[in-house]
Amino acid sequence: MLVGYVEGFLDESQKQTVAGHLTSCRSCRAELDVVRGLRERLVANGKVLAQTALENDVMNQIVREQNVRLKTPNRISQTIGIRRILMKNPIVKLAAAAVIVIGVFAVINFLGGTGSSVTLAAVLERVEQVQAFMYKMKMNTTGNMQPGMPPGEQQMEGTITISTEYGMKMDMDMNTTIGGTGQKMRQLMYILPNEKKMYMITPEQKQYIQMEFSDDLLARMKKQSNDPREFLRQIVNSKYTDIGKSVIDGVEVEGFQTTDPAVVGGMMKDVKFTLWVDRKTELPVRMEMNMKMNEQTQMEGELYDFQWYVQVNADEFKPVIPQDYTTLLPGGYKLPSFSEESAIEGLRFCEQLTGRYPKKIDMMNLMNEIVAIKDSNNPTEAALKLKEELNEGMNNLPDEEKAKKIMEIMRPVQSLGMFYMMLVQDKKEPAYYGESVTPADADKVLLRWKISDNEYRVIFGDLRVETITPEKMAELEAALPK
Amino acid sequence: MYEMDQYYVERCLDGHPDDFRYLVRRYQGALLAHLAGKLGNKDKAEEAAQESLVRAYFGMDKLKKPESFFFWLLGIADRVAKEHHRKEQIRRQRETIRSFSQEATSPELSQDYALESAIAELPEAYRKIVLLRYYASHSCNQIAESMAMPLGTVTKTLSRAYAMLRQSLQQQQRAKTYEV
Repeated sequence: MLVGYVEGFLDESQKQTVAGHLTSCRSCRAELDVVRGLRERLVANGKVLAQTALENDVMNQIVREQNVRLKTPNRISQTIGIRRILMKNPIVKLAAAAVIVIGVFAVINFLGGTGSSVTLAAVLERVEQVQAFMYKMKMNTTGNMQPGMPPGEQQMEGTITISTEYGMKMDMDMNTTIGGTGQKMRQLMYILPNEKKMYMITPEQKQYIQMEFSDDLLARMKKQSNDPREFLRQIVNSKYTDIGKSVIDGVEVEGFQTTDPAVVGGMMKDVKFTLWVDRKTELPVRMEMNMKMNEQTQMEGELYDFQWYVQVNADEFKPVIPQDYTTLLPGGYKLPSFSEESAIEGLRFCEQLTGRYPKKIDMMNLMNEIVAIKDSNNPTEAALKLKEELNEGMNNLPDEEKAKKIMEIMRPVQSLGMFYMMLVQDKKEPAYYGESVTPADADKVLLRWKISDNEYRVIFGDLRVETITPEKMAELEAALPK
Repeated sequence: MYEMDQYYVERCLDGHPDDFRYLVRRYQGALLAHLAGKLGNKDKAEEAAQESLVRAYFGMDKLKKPESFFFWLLGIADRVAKEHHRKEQIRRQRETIRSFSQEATSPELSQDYALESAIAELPEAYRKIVLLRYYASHSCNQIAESMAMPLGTVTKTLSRAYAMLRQSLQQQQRAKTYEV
């Protein structure tokens, strides 16, 4: 009780009882002095030891040993662990990249507005003529940015160039602050549809990653950025409101706003996008974005300084990778496809790994659920096997091979996430019931989406697939637990 | 708090060795107290602490639960202390043979050797809580979180640790009086 008293973890009534007793009891007062004395001794000694200048000695020794180890080839793996690839995974980066790419499409998709002086047809016509344009972007993220990381803050700022002929180029400066420590990083990203490739380069780290688009992803990107009928469809489907006139940098603009989560593929919540279009040129001037990645993570950004009709040449879209740069994924990585079969494969994979279907299947949630298996008290056989594979089975592989293998392992999960994202984006009315449906529920709907006005596609609990009528669909969904 | 440890562990694994200094800063006090009690000498404790930390850094990819960095570090420190002990024994034996008359170097006391050795004698769970509370300035709530036990258990254990420390310190005191 006295320890609790000096340590301050008694509640108010206990504290008063002790204090009251102490005024009348001499032996307890003496006892209190002893306890206080011991506490002071502990605190004082703790302070002395905490001030010992061990830090620099340790750091110097690490640097010395690191240098020695780096000269011994097979020990390099000791300085670069495998976990960073799992945790600070390109997948996560990819998800972030996807957000940006989708953001760009969203700009284009927004070009329009009915019933206002800026007409849909005029804006479309203008944008179709644009061969290349540039804009600047600012993005501020606060909260948990990656699974397994404490909350922090990240500022991104950079320039993006988009050419219908060559692709897209981004040059971003990122400033990340987590737990009081800051890190600056420059990242260059190239998306090159002609080569079916994507590059991410971090010059300060002298590292790069190259990825290859799957045909379905590429076709989709091409369709989205080139086919005017696709624009029209997206625009007509988008639920936006005309918020009226304003002035930005002396330019008269008209604003359009949407809160439709489909504009970012259902990856985000509480989405609010505002697009300002120049009333004279009928081209976008600025876009403000506001959204939540999850409950804790808020993103806020702005696309501005649009320069339409810029001149670009092929050389600008050739990534420069000096010889001494290293890659995490030699030979590149083929981005997953997002077919129905690959989505089913993803569901099966998750179920085996975690013992249940994922609760939600947006990319962020999926990643979190997979990352959570490392802390599971009751891991499944598949999870144990995977852990073993990651721990022991890969010890003899060089780091690059490990990274590649992990990407391969995660492929079904990525496919599933992307498949769902596309369903949301395409407004196919997907609904997912992983919270309640299990593999034993052969007749319950796990995931469904709309194919046409009189057809739905359904993946059942046992992963069987069927096309059914809306009536049958309603019947099945009525049977699900609320 | 422990997410923080995990974060720095991952930063190190991610090729940012300099971030290891935050882990050193956070746990050096507790590590030194732990080792000083075991080795009975400030210089030796510092030497062993340094070695433990360097070993921890290079063994980090074997750390299964990054959030339990500190307990893992204590395990490494125990092994280092044991090795040092063994080396010390051999050295002493040799020295005794070499120079019979020369007194073995008397242990140079650290700031509060009596207290540190009393802590070293505590049963493991009690020792960990004392180290975290006073040598790594954790709150009882943080300790409860890191050791995955209810707050009530932490406070009770801490009270018991106080009683044990007092007893142990009194015994040392008495032993000293007899010596004189």
